[in-house]
Amino acid sequence: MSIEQIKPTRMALLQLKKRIMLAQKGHELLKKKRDSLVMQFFDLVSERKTLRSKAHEQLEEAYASLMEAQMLVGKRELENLSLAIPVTAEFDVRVYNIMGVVVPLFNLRGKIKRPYTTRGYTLINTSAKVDEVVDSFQTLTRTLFDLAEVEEQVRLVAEELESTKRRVNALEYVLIPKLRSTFKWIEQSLEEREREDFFRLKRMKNVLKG
Amino acid sequence: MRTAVIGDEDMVTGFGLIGIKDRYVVLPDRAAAEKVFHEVTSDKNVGIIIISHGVSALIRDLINRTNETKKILPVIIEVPDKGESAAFDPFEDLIKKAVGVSL
Repeated sequence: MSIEQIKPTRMALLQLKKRIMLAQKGHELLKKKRDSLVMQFFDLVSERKTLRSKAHEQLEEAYASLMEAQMLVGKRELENLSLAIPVTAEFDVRVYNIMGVVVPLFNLRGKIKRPYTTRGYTLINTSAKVDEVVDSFQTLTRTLFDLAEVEEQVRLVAEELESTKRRVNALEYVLIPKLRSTFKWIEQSLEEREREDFFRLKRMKNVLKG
Repeated sequence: MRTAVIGDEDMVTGFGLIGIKDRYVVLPDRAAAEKVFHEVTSDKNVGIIIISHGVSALIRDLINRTNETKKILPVIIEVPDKGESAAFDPFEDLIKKAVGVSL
């Protein structure tokens, strides 16, 4: 129902009143949603920040030990070793709902950190440096899983936050003022009509008397 | 669900050593990066994509589009390249856009 098509009648006035109340209620609710999303968002952002810097530190460590191992064992040899290692880092996905935002959570199947005996290469023929590399990359991957979860949440909550903000503003600055001004216009038209009727009555009375 | 790694040789070797099998070396070719990225994102069993900044910078538009259109998975996570400064942060713009200030 576009506002321009409304006729200035009492019926329309009542309907409009209902619509304004509904819009205000919706606006109120959306504002609450926005505020709580903002709070969620700030929590997530600070969590992400700690995880990020942790991941970056671990990444640097991992690369450093990888480089040492490459110098000691050789690039080819390391790559060959990696082919022998059984698959890890498999996981299941669950979903979780933050204020209507569906985010994924990762559930690792088994541990990423594995004891030396089950890593898939022999300890006899390899350098201890290799163990170090594996260790550091295991730690790193664990952190990256957590980081992936949190970053995805940040991204999704940010999207939801933006669309909620847009809806709040649309209601506050476009729809509600439009409805209000239409309400006023109908009121004024009705008053005007009343005055006209009143004046007509007076006039008729005068004509009849005179 | 599996994890995929896209990056340079060293990164791929490192993650290979802990038992990640979906590994792709693509630097520094955009066409190759695109092809690998398509392949990985269309695989329903890949849940997490670890991608190095060097590669993600090449296909930034593709990554953004995937993030906008995907349902829930895959989650793409960017990590800095070897020797890159820790100041690298792919989320800065996003946070700025969402709250109006950078944190």
